[in-house]
Amino acid sequence: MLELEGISKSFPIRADRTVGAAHAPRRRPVLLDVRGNLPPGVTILTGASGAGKTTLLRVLAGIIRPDGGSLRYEGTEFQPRARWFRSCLGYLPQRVAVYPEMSVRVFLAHMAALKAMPVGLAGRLAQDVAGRLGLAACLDRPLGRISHGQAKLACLAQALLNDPDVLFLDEPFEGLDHSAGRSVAALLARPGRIVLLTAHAQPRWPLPLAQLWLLRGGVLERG
Amino acid sequence: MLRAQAGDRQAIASLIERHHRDMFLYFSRLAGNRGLAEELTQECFLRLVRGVARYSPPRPVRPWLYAVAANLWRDHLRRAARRREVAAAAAGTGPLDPSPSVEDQVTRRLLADRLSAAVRALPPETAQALVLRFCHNLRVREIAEILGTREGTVKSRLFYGLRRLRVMLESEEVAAHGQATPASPRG
Amino acid sequence: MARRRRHPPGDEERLAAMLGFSPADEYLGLDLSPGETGGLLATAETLAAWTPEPPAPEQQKRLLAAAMAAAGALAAPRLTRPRGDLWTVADGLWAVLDAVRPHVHVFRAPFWLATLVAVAAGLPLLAGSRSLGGWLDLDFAGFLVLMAPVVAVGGTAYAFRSCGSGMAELEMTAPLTPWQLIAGRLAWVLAYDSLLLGLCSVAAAATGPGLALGYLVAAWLGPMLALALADLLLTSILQPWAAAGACLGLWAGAVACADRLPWMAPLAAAGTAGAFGSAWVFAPVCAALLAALALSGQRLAARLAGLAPQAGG
Repeated sequence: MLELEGISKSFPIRADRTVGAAHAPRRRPVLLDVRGNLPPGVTILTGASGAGKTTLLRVLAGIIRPDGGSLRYEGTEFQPRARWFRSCLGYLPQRVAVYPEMSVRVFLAHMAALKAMPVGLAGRLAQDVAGRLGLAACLDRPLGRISHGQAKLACLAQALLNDPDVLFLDEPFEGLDHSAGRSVAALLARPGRIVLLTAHAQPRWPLPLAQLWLLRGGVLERG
Repeated sequence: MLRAQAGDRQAIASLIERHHRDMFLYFSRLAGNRGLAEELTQECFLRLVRGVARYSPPRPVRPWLYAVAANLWRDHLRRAARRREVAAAAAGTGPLDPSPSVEDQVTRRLLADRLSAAVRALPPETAQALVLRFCHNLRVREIAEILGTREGTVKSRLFYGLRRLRVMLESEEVAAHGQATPASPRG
Repeated sequence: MARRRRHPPGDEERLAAMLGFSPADEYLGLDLSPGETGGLLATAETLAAWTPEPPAPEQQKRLLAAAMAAAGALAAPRLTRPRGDLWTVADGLWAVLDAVRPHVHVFRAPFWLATLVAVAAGLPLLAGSRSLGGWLDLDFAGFLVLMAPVVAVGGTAYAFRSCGSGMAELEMTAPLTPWQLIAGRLAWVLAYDSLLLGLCSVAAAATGPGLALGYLVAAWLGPMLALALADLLLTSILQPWAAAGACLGLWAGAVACADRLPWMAPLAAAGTAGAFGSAWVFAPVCAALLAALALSGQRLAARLAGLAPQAGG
C-alpha cells in the first residue's frame, strides 16, 4: 500500500505586469492537497488536460519535489528519491523520447545498467519482455527508425524490466493498437504490484482495477 | 539463508530450487488454479528476496517462507473480495496422459477437484491450517507462528476444519453417487 | 469428561499423529464415535495424499529469472571492493568503475570516432609544420591546448544530449542521484579525452625539444576542465548544444585574443616552464565553476529530467 498524504505542488509563473495585477499570485498551484491510498492493483488517474496528472506522477516518481506532503510505503514514510524505492519502481513518461540512434536492445541494456541489473540477466529479461510486447523483431533496429507505438512499447519494456513493485505510467495506452494494448494490459498486473496509470478514458482491456481517481482542482475525487 | 542475506545469488537460486515445488503446491491447493498459483509463488519468492534483510538467522527458513506465503494469500483474498472477483475456475488443467490408466487419472482428478473445491469453501484461516498440517506436514506450533495465532486456535481449526471437510466431501459423494445411480439406496 | 471410544485400536493414535496432537488431546475425546474417527482419518489421509500437478520446469526458470532480477535491482551488482582496512588505489578504482559503468551505453560510435579524429587532426604538426590549414600558427603542444576544451565541450554536450527530453526523465527515475548521473557521464568524457590527449602529449614530449610532459598536461588540463564545467553550468539554462556553442564561442574569443591575455600563454608556449605558471589560473576558475554547479544543482537536475521550472501538466 502506498499512501499519499497532503501532496502539494505549485510552479512559478511569470509576473503579470498589467496594471492592477500587483497582488496576483506568483505561483500556480497544480496539486493542492492530494490524499489517497494506492493498494495493489491498477489505479486509473484521470482528469482534464492540465489537471496535474503528470505532475502527480512526477512527484511520486521523485522527478520533482513536492512543496509539501508525505508518502508512505507499507507504513514507512519515505522519499521517492530513495535508492530502495527507485529499485522497485517502473516509470513511463508521457513524452516518448529516446536516443534515436540506439537500438531497442541497447536502450534496454542502458536502462538495465542504470537500474543496476546484472548484464547477462538483463539481456535475457529484455529479450523476454520485448518478446511479450511484440518487439522481438525490432530489437536490433534503431529507436529512431521504428514507429512511435513501438518506441512507446520499448519505453514500457524498460519500465517492466526490473519486475517493479510499483509502476507509474503516464498514458501507457495512448497510441497503441489493439493487440499491443492487450499485451501491455496483460503484463502490467501481478499480485502485489501497485500500478498507477493516467488515462483520459478507461482502457478497453481487462485490468485488475482497484480504483479510479479523478484529479480536479488539485485534489483527488474517487470514482 | 545467511548467504542469501548477503546477496549471494547462488544461495537465492538454491533456496528457490529447494522450496519452489512446496510453495507452488501450497498456493495451488488453496487457489485451485495453476495460473494464480504460479503468480503467487513468484510474488512469494520475490518478497523473500526483497525481505532477506528482515530475516533473523536463528529462525528456520521453511516456516518463515510459509509465513510470507500465508500473508500473501491473505492479501490476495482481501484484494479479490474488494474487486468482487469471482474465483477462477477450478484447476483440472492440462491434458490427460493418454496412458492405459486414463480412468484412474480421471478418478483421481475428480477427487482432487472435489477436494480443491471443498478446501476453498472453508474459512481461509482454516483452509490454510489444514493444508499446512496435512499436505505440508508442519507442526502445530509452527502453523500457529505462521498464521500469527495461538496453538489452541490452530488445533481447534484443524479439528473442526477436518470435520467440516469430511461432511462436505461426503455430501458431495452422496450427491455425485445419487446423480449417477438415482435408484440405488445408500445407508 | 470424555466418553470412551469403541473404535478400532490404533485409529485414534493415527488420527492424533496426523493432526499433530498428543493422544490425550481434549479434542480427540469429544463426541468421536468409531465411525467418525474412521471418517476423519480417511479425510485426513485423502488430504495428505492430495498432490496437485507440480510446477513445470519452465515455471521455475521464469521464477529464477524474476528473483535474480529482484536481487540484482536491490543488492545490485556492485563490483566487490577488494578487502582491506585502508582505502587503497585499487579500492578507488573499483568505486570509480562501479560508478561509471552504467553510463557506457550513452556513448555511441560517433563520440569515440569524432573525438579521435579531432585529436588526430593535429598529428601533422608533429612532423614540424607550424600552421594548421594556414589558419593558426601552432606547434603540436599548442594544438593540444587548443583542442582539449573543444573535445571536452563537444563530448559533454553529447553525453547530456537527452537533457530536456523524455529520455532524461526516464533516466532520472533510475536508482541514481542526479549527481551520480552527471559525474558518471562527465567522467567518461574527461577520461577518454584525457587518454587521447595524454598519449599525444607523450608523443609531443618525446619529439619536441624543451617540452616537459607534466607542464604540457597541465597546460591542456586546466582549459579542458574549465570549459567542460562551464558547458555543464550553461546546460542548466540552455539546450546542450546551444550551451556547447556558447562555450566554444567563448574559447574561440580567448584564442583569438591569446596575444593580449596573459593566462592564454600556454597556447603559445605550452609544455614549457614559462607557461606553466599561467596554467594555474584555471584552477580557481574550475573551483568557482564547481561551486556554481553545486549551487545550481537543483535547477540542473530539473533540466536534466527535461523539465522547465514552470512544468506542469
